[in-house]
Amino acid sequence: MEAAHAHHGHDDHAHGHPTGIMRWVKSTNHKDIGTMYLWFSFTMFMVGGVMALIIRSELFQPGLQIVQPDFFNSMTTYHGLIMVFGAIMPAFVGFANWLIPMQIGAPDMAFPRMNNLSFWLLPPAALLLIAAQFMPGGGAGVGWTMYAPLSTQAGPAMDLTIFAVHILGISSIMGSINIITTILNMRAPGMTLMKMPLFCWTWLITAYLLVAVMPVLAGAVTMTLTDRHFGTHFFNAAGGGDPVLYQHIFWFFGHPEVYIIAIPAFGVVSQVIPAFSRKPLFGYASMVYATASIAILSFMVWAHHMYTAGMPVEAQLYFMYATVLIAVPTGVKVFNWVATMWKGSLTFETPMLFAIGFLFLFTLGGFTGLVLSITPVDVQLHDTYYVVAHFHYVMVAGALFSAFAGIYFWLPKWTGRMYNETLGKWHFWLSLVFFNVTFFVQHFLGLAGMPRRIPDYALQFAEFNAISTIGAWGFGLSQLLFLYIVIKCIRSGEKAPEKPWEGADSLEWTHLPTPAPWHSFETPPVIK
Amino acid sequence: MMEGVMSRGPRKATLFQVLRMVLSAFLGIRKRSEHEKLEVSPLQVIIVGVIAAALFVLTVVSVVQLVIR
Repeated sequence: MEAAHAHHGHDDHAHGHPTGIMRWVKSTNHKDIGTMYLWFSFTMFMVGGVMALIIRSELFQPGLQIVQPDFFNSMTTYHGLIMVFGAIMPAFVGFANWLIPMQIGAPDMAFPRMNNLSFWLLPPAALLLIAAQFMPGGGAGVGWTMYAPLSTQAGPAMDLTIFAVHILGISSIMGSINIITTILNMRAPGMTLMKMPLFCWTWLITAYLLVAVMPVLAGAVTMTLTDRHFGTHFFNAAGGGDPVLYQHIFWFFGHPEVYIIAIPAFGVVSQVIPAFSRKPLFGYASMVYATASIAILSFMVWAHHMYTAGMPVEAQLYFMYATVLIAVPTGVKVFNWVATMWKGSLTFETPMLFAIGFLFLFTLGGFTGLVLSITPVDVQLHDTYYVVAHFHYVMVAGALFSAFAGIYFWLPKWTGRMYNETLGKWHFWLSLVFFNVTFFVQHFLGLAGMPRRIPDYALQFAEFNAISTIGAWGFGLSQLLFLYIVIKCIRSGEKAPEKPWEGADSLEWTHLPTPAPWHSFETPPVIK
Repeated sequence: MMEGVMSRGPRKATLFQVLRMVLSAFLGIRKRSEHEKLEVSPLQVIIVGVIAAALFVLTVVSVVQLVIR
């Protein structure tokens, strides 16, 4: 460790940084690219967040007060697309870029130039999604799932959306190839696969999922494109096609996509909980195996998203049974995190608070998922706010809280400075309370029968909608506090100690100085 | 991180052991010590994994057939 410090101190001055804007435009440095991914994702989080607030403000009271229905539909569509593809996925790719090389003792990613391209494809895609709002007829109000026949009939905004999805898919595939190659070929001597931090394992598995399903999504939107412009009838019943085919293709991508988002989040939480429990992760090997099997099983349950689309009772039963069974390995993971904390020397700094918040709320989101997996129940609840509540517990309290945990956890390593712990705790508690105010009541709305994706609703839903909107504004404004905390940390935070978290034991904490030097592990460490 | 495991030298896994490994993965429960005793190639795991996944689907399908009869 001492040798590594001396070595890197020296290396850091051996050749200078590129400076100015070209440092970022031409960057091949995994840390710089990771930083760009994280800032991009935060920017998109803000854009998608504003869309969410437009949705919630319109729903504050029954009747149409603020926006027109077409614009409302466009907001629900692009809120979903931007949050999934622009905010959550790039956030975890940012973590992967920053951490995987440091955690396996590699000097950088395997294909640094491709890494640069993966990132720089994202801003054009984001601009297309935003530009779609200004096309004739406004944004495509087709829902983030882009179901036919709406998507084959929508205005020109749909073409921009399709192109954006293509570009985002290419970026994801290139990023995945990079991650797989880096993990399989660039580990330091002695760093066997089963010695890797669980975060690296979760990303290895996620990257395979991405390579497997992104082309499926690309196929689905390409068929939509040719149906729109080139005379094909894949999804057009009048031409011998089938609109339900689109749903099958989309969800064959869409269900693994849920795990593409959730599994890296599991990885982050699996680094944070052991560090603040001062114990190794309980059942490391089980966690690796459970993650791999969740990934495989995620390909076999897709039609539980479309029970009401029409399918034989055999298929309904198959997808119901298979979905219930996939909860078993996920449940094992939750038990492992709890067992990691059991009899540990727990402390509750901000990263740990977010990780425990994740644990509670993700479990709740998982349970409502089980409720929805029961076909007869889903026939009642399909396309209601119960579904909206369910997937926001998984996406926000699952993925986003885990990303917050990771950012607070690694900020000292990234910046060399500490964030303000008091403000961090405020951010956690405000987020936790307002998140539940926003989304818990949506379970009741769904059970009472309020459909999703509507700008107006019947009077009996008024109270819970008003509560949910207040929660949404509180949650949104709380995230400005997060931005303030991060900027304050970067500009004037206290200098971070070499190892701010005594329980953290992966290579970036044990073998590298804080802040991590621009180039690390040019000489690989030897892992015993 | 792990103490002295490699020195014992892992043994090549038999088909049954790989199958056991894949099935315990489906459940999500596996002892670390069991894993470290064996030398398993990724190809073995992938082939057995895909077969086991197909068997899983067939099992669920036959249960469904049983239920709707």
